[in-house]
Amino acid sequence: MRTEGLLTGRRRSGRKGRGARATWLGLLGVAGFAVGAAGSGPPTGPGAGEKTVSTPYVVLVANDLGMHCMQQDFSEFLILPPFNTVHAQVIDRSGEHPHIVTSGVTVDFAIPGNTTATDKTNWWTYDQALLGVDFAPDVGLTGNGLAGVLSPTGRKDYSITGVPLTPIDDNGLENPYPLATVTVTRNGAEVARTQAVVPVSWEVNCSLCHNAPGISPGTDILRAHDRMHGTELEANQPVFCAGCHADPALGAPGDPDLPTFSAAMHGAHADRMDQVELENDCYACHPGLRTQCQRDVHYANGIFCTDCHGGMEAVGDPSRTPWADQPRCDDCHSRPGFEFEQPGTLYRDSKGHSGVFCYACHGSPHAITPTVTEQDNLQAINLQGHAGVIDQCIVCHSQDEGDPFFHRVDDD
Amino acid sequence: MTNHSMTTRAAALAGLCALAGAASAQQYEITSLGNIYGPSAAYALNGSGQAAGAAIGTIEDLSPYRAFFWDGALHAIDPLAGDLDSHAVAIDDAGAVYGNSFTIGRFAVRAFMADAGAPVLLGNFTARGANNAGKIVGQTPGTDSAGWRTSSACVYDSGSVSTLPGLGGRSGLATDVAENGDIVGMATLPKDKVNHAALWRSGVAHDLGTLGGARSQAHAVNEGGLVAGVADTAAGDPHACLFQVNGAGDVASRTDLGVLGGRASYAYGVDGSGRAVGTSDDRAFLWDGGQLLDLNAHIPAGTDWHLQAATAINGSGQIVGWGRLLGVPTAFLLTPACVADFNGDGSVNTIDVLSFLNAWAAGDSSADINGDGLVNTLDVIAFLNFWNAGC
Repeated sequence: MRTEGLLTGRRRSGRKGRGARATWLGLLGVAGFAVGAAGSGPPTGPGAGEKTVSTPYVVLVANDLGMHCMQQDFSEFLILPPFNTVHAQVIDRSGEHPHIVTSGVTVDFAIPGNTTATDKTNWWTYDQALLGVDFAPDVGLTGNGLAGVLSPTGRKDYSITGVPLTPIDDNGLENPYPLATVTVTRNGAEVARTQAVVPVSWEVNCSLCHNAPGISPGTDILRAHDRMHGTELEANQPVFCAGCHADPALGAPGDPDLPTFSAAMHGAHADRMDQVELENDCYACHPGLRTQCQRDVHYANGIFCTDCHGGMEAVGDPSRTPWADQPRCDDCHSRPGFEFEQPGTLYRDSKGHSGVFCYACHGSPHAITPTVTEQDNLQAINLQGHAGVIDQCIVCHSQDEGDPFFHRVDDD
Repeated sequence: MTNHSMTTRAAALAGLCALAGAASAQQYEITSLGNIYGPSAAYALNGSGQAAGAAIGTIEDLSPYRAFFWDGALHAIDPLAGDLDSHAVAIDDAGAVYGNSFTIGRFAVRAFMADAGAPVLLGNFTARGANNAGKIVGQTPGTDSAGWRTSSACVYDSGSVSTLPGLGGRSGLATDVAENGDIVGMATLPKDKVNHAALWRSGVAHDLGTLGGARSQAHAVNEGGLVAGVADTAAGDPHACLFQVNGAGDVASRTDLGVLGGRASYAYGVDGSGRAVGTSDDRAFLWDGGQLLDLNAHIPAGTDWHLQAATAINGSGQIVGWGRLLGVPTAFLLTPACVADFNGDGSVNTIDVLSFLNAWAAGDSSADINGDGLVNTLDVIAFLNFWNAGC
């Protein structure tokens, strides 16, 4: 029971030696699609796509990480709570030259297919015990809910943070790639709309290894920690891991004498991954065998997690700052006359082309378009008629500029 | 201690508890529906105690979802050809299972019916509920004039899918259908930021409103027009709610079922007599006789279960859902126990009283009849109430 084509390539990271290469046909199909979309040079006119934007504004939306991981069960410990972040850049395309809008509009956000969270995870039962705060139902760490209004960030875009989204939709189905609808209104009238993925997954496979009989995987983990480090975690559940091991993702300083959570986890498990025998070891802990969060044009071209991030030893390097020390596009990409991220700035925060964020045209990290997931391609397809980088000038410009676009951070 | 003296003591205690008027809630036997590899959950139950749900498949198959049918053993149901995942949502009294076939990362969800064989395609919609007349309700996808995705509540009947009207927004979802054809679910209001619970009768959508807050959802309906769901209170907290619908399809009353703890509760199922089940504060609940009961207090003491959510209840009082069994989410079936038949020999007699008192005297956890974690006089009263009531 194997599918053919696009998705065959996605589900390739199971047990080692189990049909991995049987998926090459599917993978090549994806790669061919990617090259066809991105490798033939950026088209400049509407002829390359079948759609043109008809609204006076355009809004381009992306997620900051490309995947937000969380747990379903918090009764034993907390690694990551529900917390999602969405960015939107609004461009007024009604005049002769487009400009980025930072005021005067309302940017609304909702996820019509996923409207509740408190019934899908027990985070709201254990939040008080873990963080000392009793959050209101369906309200996340920053006070935002599952629908709301994006706020201006002061850096030429809008965002909403801490959205407590889970990967279970209102139909009860697992969907790590739910669509948010973002609507821009001005003076009460809708001037732009888009739909973009708000990725979230709780697919963590601790039980691949932590499966001692008679106890839960979580208890097995805490018991092992107690045995190896002389702690008393099992007796003090639920445990906030970042209370000791610093985690910049949560803003938790931890104990400065202990390794960061990332260093502790990657370092402690680096030499133990052989026992799980996965094609992609990362998917033992990061989502995952079903989710396959690395789903972008790189994946489609045979580039996997460790090709950019390095192995577990590298990620667990104690000198590394988790979440900040990340791969850079120009580690691999170089092209005469082109520039990639801004110096000292990550892809997700970089801008070019008169202040347009990279994400606006290229998509979220780990979901750089064209992706192998249908949901992540929707925005580009609907705005310009095809998946892939937003390469049609008329998406933002009211008329075809005609000039070649040099990919530089200070390009006008 | 002779049987005679024990019987006398029991009779005396029976009289005592009758005088005290002590009440004892129903106890349940718990059955694990099992797992394939990882977590499992039960979402549906028919009148015969057969169940349906979903379980995580084997790691060798890359941990897909697998719909299952349970009739004493768990039977996995494969997805339709071309998909990787399957998920069952309903089961009728004949044992036909209704569910969905899908692949994570794709838009398409296809509804299927499985009846003692391979699943059969019903259509390109998401199934969510079904009745014994073959009506299936759920959600069908669409697009607006600009190409953005929308969805509508829908009903499948006699081979065709019909959309149901919304409440002003672009999204709708039908969750259950009664034997009389009443359909319930939810739909977004204009601007698509919030859902309201909805009832569709004769094709007309009725907004079931809220408990004073912004949002509501309906998850189940019985023949008497009693709808189980959730509605925000004026404080903004989602509370399990029973909406009583009148003959015109409008709401006659809304009952806030309260919470077991925390600030939220959700009702997912309701039987013909008005008993409702759901979840609150990470615990499965039963609403019965005006009381919200934590089902964890009504299963045998000393199990490794923590019941998290109850999703359906049938006319025999059986309940399905999921809970943590040694930390792993696992589908369960609760069957009302005959507590009075303490020795399990199929009859209720004085031997049961003797057996109970022996266990009680020994401090055995099986004598913790009221499930409060203690073996004391209250358990004697509780047991004798059950014994007096019989089974």
